[in-house]
Amino acid sequence: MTLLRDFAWNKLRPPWMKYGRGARETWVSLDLIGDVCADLLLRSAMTGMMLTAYCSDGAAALIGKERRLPRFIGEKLETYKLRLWNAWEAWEYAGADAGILGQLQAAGLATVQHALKFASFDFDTGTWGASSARQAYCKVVPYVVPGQEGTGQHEQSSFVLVLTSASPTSPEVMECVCSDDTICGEAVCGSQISIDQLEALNSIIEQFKPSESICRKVCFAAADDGAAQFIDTSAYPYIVPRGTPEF
Amino acid sequence: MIDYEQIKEVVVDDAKQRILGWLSRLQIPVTMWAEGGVGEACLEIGSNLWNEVSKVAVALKAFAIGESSSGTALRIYSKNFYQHDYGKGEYAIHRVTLTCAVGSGPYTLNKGDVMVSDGNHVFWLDSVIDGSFPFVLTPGSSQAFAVKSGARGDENNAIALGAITTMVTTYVGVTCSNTETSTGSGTSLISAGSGEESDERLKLRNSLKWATRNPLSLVDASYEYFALAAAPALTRVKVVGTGAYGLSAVRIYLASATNTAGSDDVLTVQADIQKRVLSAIVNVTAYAAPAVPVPLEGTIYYSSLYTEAAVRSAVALSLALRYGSIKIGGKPLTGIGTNVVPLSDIVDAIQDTTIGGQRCVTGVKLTSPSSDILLSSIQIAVPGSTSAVAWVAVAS
Repeated sequence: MTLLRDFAWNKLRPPWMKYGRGARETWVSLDLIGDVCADLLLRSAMTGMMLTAYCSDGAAALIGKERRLPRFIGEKLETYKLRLWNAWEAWEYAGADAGILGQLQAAGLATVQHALKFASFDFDTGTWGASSARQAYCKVVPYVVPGQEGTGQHEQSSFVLVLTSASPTSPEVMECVCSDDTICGEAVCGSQISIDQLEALNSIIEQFKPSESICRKVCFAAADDGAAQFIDTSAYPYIVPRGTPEF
Repeated sequence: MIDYEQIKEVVVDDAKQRILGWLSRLQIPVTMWAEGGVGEACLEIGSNLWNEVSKVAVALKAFAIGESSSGTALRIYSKNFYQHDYGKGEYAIHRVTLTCAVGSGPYTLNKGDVMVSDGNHVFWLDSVIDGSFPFVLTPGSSQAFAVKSGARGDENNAIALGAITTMVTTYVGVTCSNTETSTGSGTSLISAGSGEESDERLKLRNSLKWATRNPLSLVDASYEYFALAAAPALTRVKVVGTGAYGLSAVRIYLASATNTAGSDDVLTVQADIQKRVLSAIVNVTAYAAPAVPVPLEGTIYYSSLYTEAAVRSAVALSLALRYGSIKIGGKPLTGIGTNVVPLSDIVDAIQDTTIGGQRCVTGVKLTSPSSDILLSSIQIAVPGSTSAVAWVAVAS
């Protein structure tokens, strides 16, 4: 651009622009226009292209709509852009544990240090594998409901989502999950989870769960003091996982 | 960084004022020099140039993000990023009967040999119903054929029974009619036609393709993508997992832009998705979304410039399109877990009815429905009877 300007100034400038009335003003105005045009084109290219690293709020919203990753309320633009940047990977794991938990992390419902390690549920004993339970702070776990009488069948396409805001101190935290007796009512991870996050949670489950499955329950386990607390989402209509069929 | 919304066309006068403003801030006396021929010309050229460049910026903006693009820009974008193109639309297929008079023929017919018409639309011989080409139409016999519209588009669907009577291609002694209904449709329509895919639908398909990344596990959006790709007439898909005992089950509910899905589309989607899942693990079933007719009662006032019949059909179309713009399951009412078609949407749709681009309804007083229409999560609303509506012409 500089070279072009110098070239134009030295070689292309006609006599009337060098010596005539208003010559300097004319050159300055043309120079300005050139800068404006170049800047406009550059900026439009930068912001308009699908470069999520450079896009602005407005462009991010459109890209997010296209990639089916809406921005969470309160999510910082930089964080959101990173999530959009990783959309390819996010959708690669859709319908799987990693897909759900990855989005939960992005929504601030599971912090990064809550590593994506999963406990195995022992269907024979009805308990969690103890060793993995100590590591698993955030889980998507199968949920077995009693079989239909006489059929010998169990509902195996349902799951519960277990979220903890702190490291569980004992495997018992996890063992409680499938028991209805663990519903405590009010406390949700020491009130660390906002209504907006709960909405995000619902949306993530709806979007990233395997279609054939139903999220039966979301359990929040707060274990800072070693005592597990759980909440049954059915008490809160806005976090009851949608998708329950009506026939 | 300039925001996305700020990229817009700068009109010449605005560009001129801004250039003059900059010059003024640079202490360059704009009034004096601008009066001169060369300076003024440069200002004019500069502002026009800016205007042109801003148009290019807007065009770049449109090309860059799918959600903001349309037409050619969206076509290129979709092809480039998603390997998608606009659906070309479908031909309408109708059932007609050709009858050969005694003493005429026989005629040997092949696909495309005969063109028939209802006076406004033309149809070509496409296949023999319960038979095959070449087909010999013997004297004194009749045979049912499927005829295909001359062009793609939904305008070829609504052909009245008995309207196709013109033999455009002349065979002496041969007449045609479409008085027999096609199975299940109540009209001679065998397969509905449709126009080129809309921008909105193409954008939706682009968006849904993200959800096909994991071949080992399908989410709702994955099924939605496969359904829309399989059946061009569909615009709405709802997926529900049943959480059934034993075999996992998924139900897919389907609807078009104006109605529930036709049986052909349901079968098409079912067949397509069945190929993608292991039936021993997941039982997937496609259904037409249950339609809830919404009958109207009350008074609709319309301009006397139009006939009542024209307004009636225009209102029905407007309502069908409005209902069709609402997702299967209606609009959620936050907090109470209920889905509805809002009464305000119904009233708005009636009031917004147009004929030839002009509004024809001047007032609406509905006594029924008197509140929002409740829908279950798998239902859609469709226009119901308007026989209880008083249609009142108002002098314009």
